[in-house]
Amino acid sequence: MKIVAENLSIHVRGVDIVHQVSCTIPENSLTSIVGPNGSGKSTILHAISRNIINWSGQLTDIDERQLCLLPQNLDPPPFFSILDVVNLGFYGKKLAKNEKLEMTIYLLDKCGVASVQNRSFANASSGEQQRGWLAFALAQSKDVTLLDEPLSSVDLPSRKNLYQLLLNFTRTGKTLVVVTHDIDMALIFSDKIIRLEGGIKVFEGTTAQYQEAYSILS
Amino acid sequence: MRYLSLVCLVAFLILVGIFVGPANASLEEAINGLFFSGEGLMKTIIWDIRIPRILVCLLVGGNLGLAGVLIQLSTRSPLGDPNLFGIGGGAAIFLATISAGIISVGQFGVFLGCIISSVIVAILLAKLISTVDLTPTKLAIMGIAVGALTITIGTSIISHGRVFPTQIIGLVAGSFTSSNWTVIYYLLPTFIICSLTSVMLSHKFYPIMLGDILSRSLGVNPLKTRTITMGLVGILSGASVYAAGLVGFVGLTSPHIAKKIVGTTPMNLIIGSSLIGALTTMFADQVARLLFTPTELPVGMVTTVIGAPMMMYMAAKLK
Repeated sequence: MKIVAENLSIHVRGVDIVHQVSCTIPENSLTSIVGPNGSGKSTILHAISRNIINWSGQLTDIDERQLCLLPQNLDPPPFFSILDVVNLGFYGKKLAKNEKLEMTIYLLDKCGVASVQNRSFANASSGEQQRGWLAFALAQSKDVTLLDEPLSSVDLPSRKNLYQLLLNFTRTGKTLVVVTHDIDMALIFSDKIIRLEGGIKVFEGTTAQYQEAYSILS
Repeated sequence: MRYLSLVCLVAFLILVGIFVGPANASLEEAINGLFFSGEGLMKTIIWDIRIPRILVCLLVGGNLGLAGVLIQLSTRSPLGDPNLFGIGGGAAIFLATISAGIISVGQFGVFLGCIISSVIVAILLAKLISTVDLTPTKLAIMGIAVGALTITIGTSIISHGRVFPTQIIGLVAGSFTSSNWTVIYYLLPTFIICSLTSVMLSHKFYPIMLGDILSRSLGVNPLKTRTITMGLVGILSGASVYAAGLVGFVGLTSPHIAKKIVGTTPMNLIIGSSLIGALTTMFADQVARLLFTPTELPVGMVTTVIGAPMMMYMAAKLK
């Protein structure tokens, strides 16, 4: 599903966070949103998912049931194990219990937390928690998935594998938006990059165009 | 097995409740009164005082345990308690206006009025906490503020009308002395209906425990579920205040004890917390009744003496 924003301005508690942003997030692709702290990256995700309602301009309306937003710094849920959380990604899906469990275990393995699946979520390390949340989001398998710095605490070698996993996920007909500070990974795995600075869009295009514009040697 | 041991404990306390008391009857007399017909005094004591009191104790405890776990599950806050948060206080205000002679209704009217006024406070609280970023601390502050407000209104009304001190103590500190069969006829269906509804709702608490944003993406509207749940909490605590006044801390502590004994799935917590609530209230009432017999302590005093330190301990451990 394609997401289009036109002249999007967002206010949070009376402060203008995003000004007149127009951009297109193509379907079945991985789009990275980059930019310095406080540039409005997360705010845009919250507007797309309608958690923030004080915005003006135009923004594609996405059915709540087709969308999953994974915010930053999620509170670990009380008394669930990592397996429980990932399994909840299948909540409400018409699947048999053992089918859900099978797919959960597959995802846990893919995200590299199979060995700690029975650990209490709150006691897992922040990297493990992020892997758990990622598996949870992928389990939902929504048309549009919005991830806010999903891998910031994950070690570098695994990060590559997980980005590859995300890219493969989009190839099954899903639209994925990742907010990240990890430009290196974004350049390797994104189909499109959007850069914000101070609430204004300063770049929108392919990774090659980004490298050219910001003269990064690859 | 764990449920079985809980049931055994409850059964033991029921036996204590039937056979021990200030009437100082021998075991033989008590058994005679319990099982055999006759017009003896012991029969009246057992069938019209002790047994109704035990049943009301169990039902009020079950109500409070269930109400507590419902608040804690629907708000993700480990610090939820219906009476601490003023939901029972709604019913207490209504009872105060009756004690003060401002309004006058029949038995069923009193019961219904208690439930309605508690539901009003519960829904009000649900609206107050319907923000996107509900945190346990925020909920606790809101709840305690609402609780303080209802107690103040209640006591103002009581001091306006000249009411006997025992009535006031019964209301604000909880008492089972006025238990009778009518109370049971009102309480039993209330508890059954509310617990069945809670069990049917229980699966919705899984997504809610992940937080509001993620819950919505799993197709469960957290605000709606929370409002319905709070409505149930209102009914449960209104009924319990009608029967026994404000018995504090049972709703707060029961879910935490249940968590240790029966596990952490919402369904287990709902059943376990109701049982633990019944058990602790029974225990507290036996202590209140027998510790300084024939003088009785208010049962709320016993639950608070046990519950308050538990809450301090939990608050210290809270992140």
